[in-house]
Amino acid sequence: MYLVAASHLTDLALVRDTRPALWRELRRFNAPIQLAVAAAHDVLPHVKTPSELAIISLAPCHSGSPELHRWVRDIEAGGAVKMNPTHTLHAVDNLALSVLSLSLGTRGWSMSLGGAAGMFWSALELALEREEREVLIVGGDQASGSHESDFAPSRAAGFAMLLTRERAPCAATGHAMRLVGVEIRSDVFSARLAQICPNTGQDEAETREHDGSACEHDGRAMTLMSVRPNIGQTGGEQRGREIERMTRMSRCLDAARGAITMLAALHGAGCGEWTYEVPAEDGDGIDDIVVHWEVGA
Amino acid sequence: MKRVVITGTGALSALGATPTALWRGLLEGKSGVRALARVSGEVTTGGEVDAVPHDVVDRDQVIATRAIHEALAEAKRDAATTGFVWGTALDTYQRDAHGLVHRAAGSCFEGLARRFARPRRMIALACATGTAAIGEAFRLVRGGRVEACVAGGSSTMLGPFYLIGFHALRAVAVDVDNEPASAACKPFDRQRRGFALADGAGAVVVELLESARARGVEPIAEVLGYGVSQDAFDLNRPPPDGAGARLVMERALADARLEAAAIGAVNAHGTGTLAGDLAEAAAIHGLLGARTPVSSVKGAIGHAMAAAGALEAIVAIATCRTGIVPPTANLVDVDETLAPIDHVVKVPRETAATRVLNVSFGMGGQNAALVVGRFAP
Repeated sequence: MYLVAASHLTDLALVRDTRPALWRELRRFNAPIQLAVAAAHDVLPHVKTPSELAIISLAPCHSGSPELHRWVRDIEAGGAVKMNPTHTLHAVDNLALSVLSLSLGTRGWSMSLGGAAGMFWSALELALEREEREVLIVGGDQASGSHESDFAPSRAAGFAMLLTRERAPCAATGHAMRLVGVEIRSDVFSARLAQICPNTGQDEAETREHDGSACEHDGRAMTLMSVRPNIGQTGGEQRGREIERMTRMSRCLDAARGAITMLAALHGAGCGEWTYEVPAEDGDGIDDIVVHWEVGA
Repeated sequence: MKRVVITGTGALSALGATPTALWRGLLEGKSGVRALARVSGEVTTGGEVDAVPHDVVDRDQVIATRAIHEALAEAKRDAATTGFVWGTALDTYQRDAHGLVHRAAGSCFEGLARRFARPRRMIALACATGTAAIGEAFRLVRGGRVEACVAGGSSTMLGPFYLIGFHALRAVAVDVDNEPASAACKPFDRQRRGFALADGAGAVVVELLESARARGVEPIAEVLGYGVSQDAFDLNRPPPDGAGARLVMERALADARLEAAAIGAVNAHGTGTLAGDLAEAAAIHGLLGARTPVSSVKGAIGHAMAAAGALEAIVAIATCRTGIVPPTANLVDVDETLAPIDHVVKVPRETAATRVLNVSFGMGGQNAALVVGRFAP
């Protein structure tokens, strides 16, 4: 598929001040959704058949909003028995897709992927697997989704990219930029985790000593096996460490950053084959992921 | 076209911790929905999974793991050679000794996914998640991308925050004096007033028939078709004519290359909301008329969100195998203002159904449907 157009936004105030009609449509939603849908509107003029446009949306890894988390705290403290229904929507995982499909009135094929590590790369795979003529991939995220936040607006970003099956030049570069494929090179969970969460190695060693998992593969795989939660095991220190580790990992995650970083690099690519090795912090925490592109003259 | 079968199932619901417990409970007309002692307010009912204590911090992952483990064991498959397509509902807020613990939904998925082969995909289509996850796994397997996938969903949202939040959206059934909690959710009933939120997990192993045969595993059922659609109507309610719901059913039938007459029963979304049941009845009536048996499980187990479609698919599979359609719990006084459809009430009905349509409609207007059939060699 060919990249026709892409956009990313980080400034909500800019959306509010320069696109009042769109802002009226988006103002009740949370920042990741506002930025994702606004970015989508940037690329929509390049869509040839809006009614058949396929959409793949990514849920934020850090969902919610300052307002939502205030409700959580108030309810937990017993101080609130009702809440604003608009703020309930900030917790909903398919909100970006819902808002976008409503905005476009499209009933084409669509899918929403969840807020887990590396789902953007799965979205690229999904676009390639499907036979739709035009696919819009859209997502947004924010720096903090924690209920422990100070309720201040947090850093957020949204992106959108339009892919088409027919050969077409990219609006930004004038070159045909073909998405060739997404390659999964190896299972290197432990190395990835060490890069993403620098203190994880020690925990892994402790966990390995603790659970004494059998070695079924080579050294790297053995480490991988040892930190997997034992299926069927429901208690104990292993799970406690697992929760801590996943919580740390989640703090590093972002549903938009991987796309934005790759698209920025792609726009600077010269003609010919171009491969993008996904940085550890933007991967799925398990595999080496490489995206192959072909840039035309 | 390659044939795709189900070789394993796992289920935790308010009716028990196995698919058998779920099926038996439905046939016996039980409801697992009950009053939740730990919450107060206008909504205090839910479909809780008793098998896992509610104060376990990573309860989302524990519940999912048990269902997945059961499905894999029945299919005699290893996770390391199996793909994973799953939904984990929304973020969870669980109490531990130190206070409230907020876990992102993605954390649960990542904890589950790491033991599986690729593809590993997290589906996020609100109430249609479980059905869409099975459908996406079906598509991946049929397309030759992977030999088998574990698919389904899990949900743990039974706390004050989501009860109050969904009450704000006017989606859940508020408590009523002199009515048992078990009767809170009344799909298609004149007295319906919303759903009961629930915990749960449903897992199936979706596998190429050739693979199951090569491994000597007997298929439980066959997956025949899958579709998704969007309402593009409103964030909180479907169009009254059920256009998006009908479209997704038509897409699933087209994918299965079947006519509507081939469908022997419908496992409805049946949430018991005013707008939802209105649209769904219109869609079913428009496509299938008033002679196809229709049943909803949500009166019995509540609405388990991301798990709902997967649990319902497991029930649909049981209907395919036995021909028995379980009754819709708490449906006593059918709302005659809805489009007429053939509700199964009070007692199970023996039918000749071998193909069942399983439908799910997500908040925000995303819909998913599956056609499952009795396996015939």
